[in-house]
Amino acid sequence: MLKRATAVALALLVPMAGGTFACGTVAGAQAPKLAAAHKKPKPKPKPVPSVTLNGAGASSIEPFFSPVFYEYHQAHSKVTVNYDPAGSSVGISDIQQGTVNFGDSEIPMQPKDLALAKGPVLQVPVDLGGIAISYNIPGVPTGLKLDGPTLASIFDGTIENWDSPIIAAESGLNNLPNMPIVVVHRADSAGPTWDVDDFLIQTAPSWVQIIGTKNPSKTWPITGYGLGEQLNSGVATYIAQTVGSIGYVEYGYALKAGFTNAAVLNSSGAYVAPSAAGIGSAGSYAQNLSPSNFSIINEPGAATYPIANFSWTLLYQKQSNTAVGEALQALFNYVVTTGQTTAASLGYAPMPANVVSISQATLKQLETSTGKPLPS
Amino acid sequence: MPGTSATTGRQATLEIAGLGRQEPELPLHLPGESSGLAPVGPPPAVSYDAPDVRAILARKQAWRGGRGYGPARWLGAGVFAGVVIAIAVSIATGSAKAFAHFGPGFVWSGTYSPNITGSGAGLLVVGTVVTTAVAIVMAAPVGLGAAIALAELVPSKVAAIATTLVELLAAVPSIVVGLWALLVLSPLFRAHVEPLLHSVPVLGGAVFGGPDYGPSILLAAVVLSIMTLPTLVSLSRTALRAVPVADREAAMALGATRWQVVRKVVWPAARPGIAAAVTLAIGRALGEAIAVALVIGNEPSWPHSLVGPGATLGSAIVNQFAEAEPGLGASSVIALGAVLFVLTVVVNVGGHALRRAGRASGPGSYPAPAPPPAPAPQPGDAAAVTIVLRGASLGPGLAGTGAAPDGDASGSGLDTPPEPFAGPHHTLAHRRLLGLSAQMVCLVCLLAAAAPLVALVAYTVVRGAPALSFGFLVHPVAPAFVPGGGISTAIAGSARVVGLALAMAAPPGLLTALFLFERPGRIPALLRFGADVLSGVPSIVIGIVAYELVVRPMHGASTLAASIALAVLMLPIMVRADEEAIRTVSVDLQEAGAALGAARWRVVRSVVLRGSLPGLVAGNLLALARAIGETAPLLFTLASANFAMTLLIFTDAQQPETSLQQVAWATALVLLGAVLALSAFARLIAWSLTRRAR
Repeated sequence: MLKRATAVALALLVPMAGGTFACGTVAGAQAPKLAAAHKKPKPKPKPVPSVTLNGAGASSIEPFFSPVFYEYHQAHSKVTVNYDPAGSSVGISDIQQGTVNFGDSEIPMQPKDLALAKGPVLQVPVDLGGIAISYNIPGVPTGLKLDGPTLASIFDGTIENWDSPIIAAESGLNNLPNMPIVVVHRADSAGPTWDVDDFLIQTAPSWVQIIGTKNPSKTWPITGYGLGEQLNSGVATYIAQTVGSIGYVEYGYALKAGFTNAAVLNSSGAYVAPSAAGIGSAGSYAQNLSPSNFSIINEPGAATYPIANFSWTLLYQKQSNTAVGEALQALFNYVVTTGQTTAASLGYAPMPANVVSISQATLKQLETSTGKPLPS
Repeated sequence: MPGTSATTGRQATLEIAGLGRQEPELPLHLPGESSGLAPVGPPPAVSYDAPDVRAILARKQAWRGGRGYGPARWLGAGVFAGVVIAIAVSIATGSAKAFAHFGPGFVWSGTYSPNITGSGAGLLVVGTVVTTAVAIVMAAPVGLGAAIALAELVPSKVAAIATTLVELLAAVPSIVVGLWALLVLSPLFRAHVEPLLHSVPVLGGAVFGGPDYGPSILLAAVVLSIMTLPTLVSLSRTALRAVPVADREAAMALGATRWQVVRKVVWPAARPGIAAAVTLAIGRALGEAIAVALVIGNEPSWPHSLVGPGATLGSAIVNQFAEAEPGLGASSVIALGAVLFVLTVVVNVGGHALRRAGRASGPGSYPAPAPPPAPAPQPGDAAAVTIVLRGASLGPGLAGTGAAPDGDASGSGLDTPPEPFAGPHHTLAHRRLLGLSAQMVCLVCLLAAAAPLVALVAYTVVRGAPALSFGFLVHPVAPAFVPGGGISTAIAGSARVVGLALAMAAPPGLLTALFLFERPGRIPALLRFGADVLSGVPSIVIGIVAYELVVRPMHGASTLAASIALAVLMLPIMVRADEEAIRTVSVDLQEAGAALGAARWRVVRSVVLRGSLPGLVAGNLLALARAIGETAPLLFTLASANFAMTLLIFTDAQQPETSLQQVAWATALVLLGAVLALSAFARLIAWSLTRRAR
């Protein structure tokens, strides 16, 4: 019995080391074919080599990137795109170390980040999104109106209970329950944190006093109050599970999860809830958009949602592998043109035309390692 | 006639050893001897230049090696030593920049912040210590009670099954425990446990104050204690069973009740072994990063309240490493890893030393064979194999002492006689009542120790089974909005990574084990110390090292990087298990092979390895089971979460969509099934071995 058992075990172990390796490789190669459930028989463009593009970066853009990359793969089956939504700072760090083909960040790289990169980095605006202030209070489906100072008081612990008279006065709701407010914020470095911090700095003097600076930061500035969760998905999961919670997530996540979102007071005096129209309106105020002039927080307008931002894809200007460089160029040209048509249904807004032309012009600057521009 | 019989005898011996053809043509008789009658006087002097004598001497010099056996052993040991040194050096150089910038104060001050200013490990060390302390305070009494129940109170047939169950539960991967804690325990805590704790009279406001978040230090401590309980129970049980039966019988003969035997005789004798078990459980709890990161709330500030969020070194590394800026930022995170590394290794090496000291001290009532090394403490590895294999090796060697079936060469004996068992105020009825209530408590502890993990397994089956289908297993991972997706990419990816890791770790593991087996002395002692160190390194630190040494130079994540990380993890388990298996082969058999004139490599190949093959296979299966369930080393070395089952669970558990959470449960079920099947199979092989040895 022992000999038989050993023989069986050896029959498991030896093929496992070699055979499953082979099987795994084969299965991995087969996966794109099996996934082509919606494949349309389109006439293929000129034959391209098989290319895998690895990217990492903001989780905020994942609800947009995921369907768009999937559609692109259906149309161009030789190009496989893997995107790891590990956070904007991971995208920046991976690009600096050269371990990914492209990165994505909600806040573009600043000169001190660019200095640590291995070469000149192109920053391409690829989508326009907003940050929703989502809450989970039973019996309050909509209607919570908040301005900057009230929001700041909630986030820093000055207001600790939902039935506070300040919230009632601001929002005009008298039926808020007697329940402690559970604040959830991002534990990691995040673009949404920067956006909310910037909005509160511009609208709430009490916030500036507490955090002691007028520079927004990607790390949540309040310590010792509130719970930290990783990524938009972590915050969204927590809000969905926790009664009495309030937090900030990318609107794409809030839409998918069906959250109730607060209507925020903008600089024109209007209370606007997040929506594709409100976010699009904020984006229309982007003049001379560039990595050093990127903020569209607290823009005026009767329908403008005040907490919105563009998302920036990071690419090395000099691509050492020409096939990869061409694939990246084609992919992101698709993203900023055809890809924008689905943005509204996903919780984003199509980028305004002036920004799309900036993106396309930036993509034209991609070169091979010898300095020849890549054909677009 | 004597002459001819001597020569034919020698010729016959050489032929049996298979050397008759290889050796030069031997004369049929010794020089100076005629082919006929032998002289009656003293035999003629042997000349050492004679060709046949030279041949024998040449064979003796080839004794230790032959066929490259010696160099192969050195190569294996060199690879092993190289791995240990590479890890230490990589951590040191990676964190050098941070320590140079912040000074030694980094270790005890400040808190980690991605903004770098004011960075330090201080608050994280406090968080780690508090979480681990609370976990051990909760786990130790329950675990020790359960161990006493298993060792002393439960009938032996039930005890055997229960012990196997506990050891199988030790194999449950930490990501599955984390998934259950995040999706089931956390809402439970928030809704019921934390309000209950607020109402505790004195401590309610202070220790358990604050809003009811759910994720908290207390929840992380509960998760850690659930994970360390099986290890604690099985190691303590071994220590308790190692107390000689004669001591127990002596106490019973003096009139002690069952409980008094345990309390006054077994417990004091087993104390060093139990201290070692608790220390090793602490080491395991310190190194756990993934499950803690999911439920602790990630708030690196001074822990005001146990039900408030906190942060540990491990959770900070999981959350911050990938996004750290190259240069000082990344160096600060690696410095956190260095602090964790030193902390964990010190505790683990101390635990191993305690274990060896506990075993070596005291007389013991029977002679032990050459002292085997301490088995690895990590769950799901060689622990059970070593315990069972050692029993097999002791069996035939003992001269009817009636030793416990899996007894080690004992713990310490008793130095002072115990207090009297009966006295004027210790009536039999009183002692019996006390004993009965204590036994009840221990049995309750046994149920409490097994219940959480059994509930976890049951919950995983119930939640995961509905999503499981053939289609689910063969279709690749698809985004949430595409129907009909599956997890084949993840299963194939896991198989690939683990298969390659096994192929990379098995040869050095076996060769190092043979090296330790062949040589006594200082170098093997150093290597064993290295194995202790390596088995104590937290898997998150191994992930950091793999990133620095493989992913960065290769400019990208890859299967190779992940496999290297897992191979490093599997190596100490394999070395330990392989050495235990090799040592079970009886010395008599090896001497018989030597007596027949076989070279050492031949004896090892034909006798030792062939005889220990079941044990080797069992050890490798256990290492495989452990590797499949690992998450932390894959976090920084794979390009996407879709490429490994554990990463898929980690990512999908934190998604708000219930469809993705369902995928997480189903993947956890597949993973659990694979791990438990491998562990059970390994234990089956080891059990057949014991049965056959008896």
